[in-house]
Amino acid sequence: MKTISKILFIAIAAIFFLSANADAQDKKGTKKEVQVTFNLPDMSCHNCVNKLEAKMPHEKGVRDLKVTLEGKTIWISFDETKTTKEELAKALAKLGYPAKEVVKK
Amino acid sequence: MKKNLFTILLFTVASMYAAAQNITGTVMVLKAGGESEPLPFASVYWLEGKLSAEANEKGEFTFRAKGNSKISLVAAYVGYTKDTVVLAKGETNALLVLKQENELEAARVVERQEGNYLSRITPMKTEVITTAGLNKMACCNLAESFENSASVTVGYSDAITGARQIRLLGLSGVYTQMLDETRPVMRGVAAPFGLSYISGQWLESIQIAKGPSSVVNGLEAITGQINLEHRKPTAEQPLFLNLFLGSSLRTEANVSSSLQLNSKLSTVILGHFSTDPQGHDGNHDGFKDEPVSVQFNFSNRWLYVADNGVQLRFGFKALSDDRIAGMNGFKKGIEITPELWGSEIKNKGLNGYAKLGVPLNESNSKNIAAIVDYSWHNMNSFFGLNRYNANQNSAFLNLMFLSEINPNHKYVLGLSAQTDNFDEDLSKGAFNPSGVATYNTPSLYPGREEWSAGAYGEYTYTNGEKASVVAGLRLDKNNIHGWLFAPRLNLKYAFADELVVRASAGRGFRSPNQISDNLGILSTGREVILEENPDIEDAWTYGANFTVYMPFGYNDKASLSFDYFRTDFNSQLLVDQERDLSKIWFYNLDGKSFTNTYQADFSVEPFERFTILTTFRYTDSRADYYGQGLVERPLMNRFKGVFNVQYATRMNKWTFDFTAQLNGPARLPEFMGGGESPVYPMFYAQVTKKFRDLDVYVGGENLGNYRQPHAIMDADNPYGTGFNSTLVWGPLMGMKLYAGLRFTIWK
Repeated sequence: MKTISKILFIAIAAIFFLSANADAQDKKGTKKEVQVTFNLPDMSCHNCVNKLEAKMPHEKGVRDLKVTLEGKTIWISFDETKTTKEELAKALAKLGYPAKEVVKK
Repeated sequence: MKKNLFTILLFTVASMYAAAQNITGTVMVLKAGGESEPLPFASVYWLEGKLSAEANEKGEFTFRAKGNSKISLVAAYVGYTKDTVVLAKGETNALLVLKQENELEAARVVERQEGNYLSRITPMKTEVITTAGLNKMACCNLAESFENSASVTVGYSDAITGARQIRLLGLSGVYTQMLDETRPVMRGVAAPFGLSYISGQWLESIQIAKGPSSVVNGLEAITGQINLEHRKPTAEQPLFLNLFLGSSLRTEANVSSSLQLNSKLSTVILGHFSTDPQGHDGNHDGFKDEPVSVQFNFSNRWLYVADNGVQLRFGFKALSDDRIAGMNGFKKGIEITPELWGSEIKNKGLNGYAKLGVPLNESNSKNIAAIVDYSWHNMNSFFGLNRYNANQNSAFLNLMFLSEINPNHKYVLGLSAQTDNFDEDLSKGAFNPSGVATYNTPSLYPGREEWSAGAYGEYTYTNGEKASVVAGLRLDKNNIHGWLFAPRLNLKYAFADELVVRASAGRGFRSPNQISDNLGILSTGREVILEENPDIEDAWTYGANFTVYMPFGYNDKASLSFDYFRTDFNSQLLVDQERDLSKIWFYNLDGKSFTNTYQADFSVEPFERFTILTTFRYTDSRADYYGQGLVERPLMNRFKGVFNVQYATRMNKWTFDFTAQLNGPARLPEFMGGGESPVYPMFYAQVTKKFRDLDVYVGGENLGNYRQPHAIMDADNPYGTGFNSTLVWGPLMGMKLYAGLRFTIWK
């Protein structure tokens, strides 16, 4: 039982350490993060969501994103020193989803 | 949020302030190839106004709406998923997009975000394991896909063959109907190793429905149905590749390719290869803990959608699996001797199927569907001196007529037939004086030919997510067991959005397969006494569930659920090892046999991307055994608790999973020393890193390195009466570490 508890403790500790560490890395540069929401009229199925969630995180400068199928939108938080809204729109179009920025009134 | 479980929906905003009171819109259909086009003559309902309209031939519709009322529009067309759009104040234009249903059956639940969840919309309480859930564990095959579920327990059938079986509601997996996209699979001879023949990486999701469920798929669901959804031909993934390597040198490769050839025709190709090259003996009992094995598995599935709405699905699957088990010295191609106990199991299988759906009217509110399925499975095996060769040919036909009277009422009428030809040969050999095994005895078990044909009807009442009633009846004629009548009822009522109550009751029947359901009995030294006239197994299952959705945690999506299920057997085939220590007796139940199962599930996301899932099950499973009276079924873990935490960094670039299980005690037969097996924990952990198009994962199973001591009884004397490998209550394998990758190319 002792070994089990030890392993359990190490496993949990490792998970939290790694996750905290990974999170800290993500938060670097938070100050420069800018958010944008695009409307994607051609996004119409779960598969599209999967594709966007698989592809967009690896575009330069993208820090976080959320895709909503109901609203046909993608919310992106990005580092403005590394990319621009135009670059992101271009990347979305390249994936097959021409994008239009949603401007809040 | 939950609506998109079921529908593909969206809105377009025409103007922020309405000039007129007319609500206009268009109904579109999303085709297999990804394009969308107008869907003529779909029904559109305005919920608040209680008005309905039909779209014209261009898919357009108009309502005359009152001033400020809320406007929720639902578009429906049989054979397509419904779409619901709620217009914001001032909006007057709606775009509704329907998607062709993946299945002929109406209720499909596919959602990829959460790993495991309880469906809010299905009439039966349905636990769904999604791709995300399947990816939490390395999930070599189906047997390893239930680690986060307390409902389903997977255990080894015996300590020799590597065969695994599930347990649902405290009963053997043979009482759970396995469905491959609603076609019954893993039956008869194909059952013992069936879980190993479905790669977890081939699957899109798994739905576990406890209780009697629907009559549409036959009589055989007693404790529930497990439906497997494979990767779809319409997925825009021309290539998916998974490679896996375990510390025991288990190697696995899975490949999947979904190709859309044109807007009508698409296909998915699924391939699998795996091997366990080493016969590791971690507990030093002289026997391989797991067989040395090589498996090839290939499947090709097609979907054709014609312009007139006719849908055709067809496909085939082929598999080959060789296993070498037994003592460490036993290798492929060598003979067993009085000193060397060995086992070789060769499985080959073929399956072909076609499913056709034809709309009968323009609105598609009436349609007919046909399913045909043919399977051949061959097992060639020996277990020491027990030789078992089996050849199964099975065909299944299901014809159904579906009619949707209106969105609230629909019914299905159908005819179905199943025929099975089990050609089996079981013989017990003996060593001649020079130590060579000879088989002179006649077959101890000839197999059987069985067919049944029947008619069924099922009526469904649905009132949105509020309430539903599914009432079904089936009457079948069986060539051996006569007339079989099975009524089934499932009720659901949502007292509020946050509180859903379900109840179900129904009857199921199953014809037992004495050898293949209990293959482990051949890896014992005991004499097998089969039942000459086994009754068809006949049971009622009743259940109730309530699920509360609570507004706390991130997204306000915590859920708490309680279940109670009871299965009562009228007749059952019992396998008794306690009646006589030199024999294994099969006999028909004379008395009571029942199980009571209680389960609680709780899931919460305390903060963003951190989820906790806990579940606990308690089972009381008893039967009247000869000479013992009503006793707890042996080797059945009384409880199981699961605690799973997952944390993902932004955009799931890193995912960390940890699962702890606590497995309860099981009653041990007197000849094992009596009493109870110990309570033992199991730990699993996995880390996944996402790169562009590539996921890499490393993890471990059974991190506490717990294993059942002396899993094989009398391992020193394998041809003696006391030799027994079926007395398994815990894990046979110690800690396993693994690493793998998943590579995806998107269209």
